[in-house]
Amino acid sequence: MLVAARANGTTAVATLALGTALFLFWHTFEPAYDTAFAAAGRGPVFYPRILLGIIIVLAATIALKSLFQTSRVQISRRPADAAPDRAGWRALPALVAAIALTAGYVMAFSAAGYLLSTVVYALLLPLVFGYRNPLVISAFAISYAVATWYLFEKVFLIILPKSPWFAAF
Amino acid sequence: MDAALLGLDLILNWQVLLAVTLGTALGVAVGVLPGLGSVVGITMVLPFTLTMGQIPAIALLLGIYCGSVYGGSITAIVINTPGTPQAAATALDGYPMAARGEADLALGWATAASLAGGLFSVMVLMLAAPQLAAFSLNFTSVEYFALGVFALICIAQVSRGSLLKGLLSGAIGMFIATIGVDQVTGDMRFTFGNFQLSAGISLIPAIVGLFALSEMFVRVSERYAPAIQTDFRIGFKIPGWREWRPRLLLLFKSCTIGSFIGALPGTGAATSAFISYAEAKRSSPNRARIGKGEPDGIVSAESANNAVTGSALVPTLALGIPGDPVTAVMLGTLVVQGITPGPRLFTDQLDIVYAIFLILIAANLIMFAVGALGAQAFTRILRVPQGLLMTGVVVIALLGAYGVRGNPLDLIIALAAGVVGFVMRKTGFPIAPMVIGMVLSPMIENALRQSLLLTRGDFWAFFDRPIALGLFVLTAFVLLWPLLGLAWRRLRGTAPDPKSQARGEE
Repeated sequence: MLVAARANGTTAVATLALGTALFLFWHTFEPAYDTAFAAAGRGPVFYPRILLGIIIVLAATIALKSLFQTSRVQISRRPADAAPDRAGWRALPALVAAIALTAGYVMAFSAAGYLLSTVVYALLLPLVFGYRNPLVISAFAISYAVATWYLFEKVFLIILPKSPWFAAF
Repeated sequence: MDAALLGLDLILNWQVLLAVTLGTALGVAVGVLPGLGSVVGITMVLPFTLTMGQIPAIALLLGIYCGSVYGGSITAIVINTPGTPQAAATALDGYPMAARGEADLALGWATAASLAGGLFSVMVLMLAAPQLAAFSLNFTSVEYFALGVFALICIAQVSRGSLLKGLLSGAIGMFIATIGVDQVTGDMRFTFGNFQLSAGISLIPAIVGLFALSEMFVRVSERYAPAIQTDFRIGFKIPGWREWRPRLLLLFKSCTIGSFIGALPGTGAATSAFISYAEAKRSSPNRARIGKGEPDGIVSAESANNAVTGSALVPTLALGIPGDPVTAVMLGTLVVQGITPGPRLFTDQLDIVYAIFLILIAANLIMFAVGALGAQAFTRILRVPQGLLMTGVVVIALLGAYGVRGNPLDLIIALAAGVVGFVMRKTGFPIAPMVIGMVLSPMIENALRQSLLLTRGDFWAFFDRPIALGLFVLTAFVLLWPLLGLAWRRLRGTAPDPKSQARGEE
């Protein structure tokens, strides 16, 4: 089961790489890159084209190999195999939440400032991991965010993004 | 001699000594925690290095490097869970020793062997790096092109996962490095009109995403896995000279294996530890007991994996070619600090080179002291709730990604790299070749274009140069090695059954 899932994943990743590489290879023939011909073919897309060609060949080979392997895999229905798979699916909402939360943090980093965004992120991310002690989480989120902010902003003099609402941070 | 004294002068101040001490202690802590390795440890301290001087910044990084390679052995011995892949071989004998109540002795063997391996590798670095740097002064762009390709193929070959996946990962990394301004013509490449992309995809945010963020996503996705049991007490006991004496030859052999393998691109501490362990199992007088709690197993694994730390820096410092993601990050940090590794470093900034040698010696000595005094304390880190620990790691790593250029785009790049790294890890694509590809790509591209100018576009003229030809032959050999191995096994009738492979017996 796990192997079948990994083989399907490999096919998907390789196909995505193949599609992207084909698009980018086509893109290298855009008129914007015509300077390549002015430099006897050694222009800006000379080297990327070689790389894209290699990526296309490798991705196509991996996708075909993986597809072939997936079709031959005899999917096991044993309960022992099914258990980790169920655990994986059970954690999917948490994984999506962690990615979304980090994406939100990355956006808020500039928009709301380092200190505020970090406090909120450090309050919420432990919950995604299943840790549920509000007192410890609050103490950790505030102290960690303030300590790192003070260290970088005041001691190391690295300018961190400020919030639009407070002049100090 | 003057340069050595100047190097000594550079490190004899409180900032450097504090940096190497804190770095080593933090490195051990990072090594103790399963999943976080040397790369995550180094990316965590990157923001701190931005405002530090050259030498304290190097001291911090080298301390973390040495400490983290050793730190993995503590959890390998005490709870049979290697903190880092490098310490996996240590668990084979360390844990059985701990299980029969000799955890203190096992830690003593591991710590002393790590110190011996680390110091041995510094000697190798001091002897080999200047020679290699002097030799490489004969290199033209053709040799650098051949060397870059060879290094990348080696890394793809030995990475976990299949060779094809490793090669694809490396090629994608090389392509990512071409995004932005072309250094030769000044044209924009693959920016699609986005001005912020014109500066290219920076290495540090990519590494932060590929290693630190992807580790966090992997841990979230496995949050229902059984937790590590951390209820234990340990001590520390150094074995006596009578126990060491019969093992000195084994120690020397393991140090040599580790140093040699560490200098090769792409191999590294985990590979060297297992090769050295296998050699001990083959040749040790106590081989019958190896795997059942025999100190020979710990000595061979730990001395070999720490012997990598110095020798891995040989190609990095002498040629500017990193052997693994750890040295790749260090290379990037050195460049940020205004130090350009390569042959010129050994002629123009010899005092810095000697300072690096001395810092490595200091880091190994401090590592021993930290291990001896604080092994029990470090295992307590395992009791920190995973949610708090990973939040701390991710926040500081993202701060590092942002701090290098102060560009919010780098945070988005780190996030994207984190998702990509997570998907790659879950589908068996190795991450290391992608990072090395990003580092080597500009060098390979410049060398290729300069070489084609030198040879007036004749690629076949590359093979006229003996060193380059030797490297191309080696590259072809490494690429064809799996096919040659398969052909050999088929000839001997021991080829793996394709049906069992199809069933997924990987």
